[in-house]
Amino acid sequence: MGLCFAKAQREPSCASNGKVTARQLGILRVEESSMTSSKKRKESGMTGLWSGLPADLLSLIVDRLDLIELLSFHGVCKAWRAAASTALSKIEASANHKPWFLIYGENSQCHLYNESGRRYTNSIPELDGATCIASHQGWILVFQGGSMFFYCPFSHAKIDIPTFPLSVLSNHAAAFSSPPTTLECIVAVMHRDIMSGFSLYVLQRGANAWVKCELVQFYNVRELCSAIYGNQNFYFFDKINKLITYSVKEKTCVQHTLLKNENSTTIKHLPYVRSKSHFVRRNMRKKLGLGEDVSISICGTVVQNDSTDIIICNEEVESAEEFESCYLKGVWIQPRFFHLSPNQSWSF
Amino acid sequence: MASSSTSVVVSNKEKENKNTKKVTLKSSDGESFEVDESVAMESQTIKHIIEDGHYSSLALSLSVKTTMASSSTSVVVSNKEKENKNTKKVTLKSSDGESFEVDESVAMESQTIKHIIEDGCANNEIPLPNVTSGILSRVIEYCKKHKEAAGESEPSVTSYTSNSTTNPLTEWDTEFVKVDQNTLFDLILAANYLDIKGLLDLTCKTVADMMKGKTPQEIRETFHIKNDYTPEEEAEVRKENQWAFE
Repeated sequence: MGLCFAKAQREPSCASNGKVTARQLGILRVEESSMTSSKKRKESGMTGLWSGLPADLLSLIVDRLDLIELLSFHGVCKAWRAAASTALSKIEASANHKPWFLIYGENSQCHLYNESGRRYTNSIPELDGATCIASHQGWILVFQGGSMFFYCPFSHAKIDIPTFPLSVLSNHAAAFSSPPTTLECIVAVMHRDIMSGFSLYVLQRGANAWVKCELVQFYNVRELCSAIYGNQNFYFFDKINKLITYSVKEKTCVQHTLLKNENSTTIKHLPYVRSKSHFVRRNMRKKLGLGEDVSISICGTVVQNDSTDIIICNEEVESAEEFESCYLKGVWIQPRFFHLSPNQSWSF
Repeated sequence: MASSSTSVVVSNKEKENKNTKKVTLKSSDGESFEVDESVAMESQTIKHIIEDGHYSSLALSLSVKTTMASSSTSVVVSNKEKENKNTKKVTLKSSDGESFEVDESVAMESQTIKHIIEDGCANNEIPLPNVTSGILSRVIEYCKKHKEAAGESEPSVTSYTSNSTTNPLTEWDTEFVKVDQNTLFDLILAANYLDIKGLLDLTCKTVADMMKGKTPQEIRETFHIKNDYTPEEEAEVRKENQWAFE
């Protein structure tokens, strides 16, 4: 940046003889030539103007686009595609994204809302009559009358997994350890039935059947509202203060009680913070323009936030009116674009 | 075509300012007005004072109030040289040979120019071979405005009754980027070359906003970009873009 320029020579000015001076002529000529070049641009339809923008400047522009806008940008031309790829991988790498919100449940009509509330619409037949039971890093786990699959709403990538032993789900909490494309992915679903009590089903990557785990009797565990994987354990939380941990190695469950902020060394600390009424507290009903008579059943997710992860709990938001005009489903989801190779499947 | 004619007018104005000598007129109650010499010479009295060359010492005392000073004929004329001592100036030269004299502090809104000045390589003129006069005059306008705003130490724009969207600078910025695409494109390149973060952010944000909510084809049409995809690639593009903005 600190280049030294040679002393600028003053342009010799022609003697004024009452007519247009050389300097004036020079300026006129220059303006003419700059106008000619801009005229040239107009004539050629300005083609090549924007697609010729240097990649580092393109990325400055592209950094301001959300994932869907980026996909639009991605599809404009080859030069821009390259710039978009860099931005796309940046989105994948950044874990601290505020989650988007997906609403479904009205036939196959789906609405996606980005961090600032902008709405996108699409028709996804796969989600018609289905329920999302877990959401993590851009993948959602979907249950549909027994069949189950992983889905990425942004790229429409789908991975089918073995049929679930139950064809109807009541209260449940589910989680998976890592993206379904990884070799070590494990899925765990804790189910609570009024009649039969609790049951836990686990599926390992590559396996072609779910395994039902033996459970000890739980005491006072209420409605399940969130599940998360960490440190080779699955953690299932209920609405109040009970926690069930399932050790993947030992294949056993232990029940715990959550305490508030005890500074004792004998008590284990979990690096999580729970957000129990996330939808309500964020005034989402108003932001999404949903009527008071709409009830919505929401699947939560985990948001990474520096040292402490925030668990957005599953939520049942009731209609404020006497009658429920419509029942929708929602899920908090990180914006990710997953491109699957053609022979990607659950089995190896 | 209105925007292209505007840019011509602006550059002419700059040219005028550079060639025109300025004088400062001081009213009896102490207010100073800097005007083009040619403007001040509308007053025959001032014309004589200037032509006589005695204006550095002559004082005409008249009971003229500040509000009437601009049209009055009896004011004290002070020396321009004394004025200049307070604000250091630099000259920027565009690629097409135009010179622009600006306050050094304004020019230093550009990190590139700042480095040149600090390295002591400024000399008489700083040549900017990558920036045309039309664009340079706009850039200078931006820098002046933002330097002015930064100079106002009173944070009145962030009072509790107003929010950032009613910030007068935001409104000015919005108007500033209402230009044709060629100009916007050149502004981005200039802001990048001159390293003016605020202007680069503003112009990039403007372009990003022009893309929001548009399909790939709509973006192509807006920016006059040729579709260079094969039909297979085009099918893939369509698959990627099924989410529609309402």
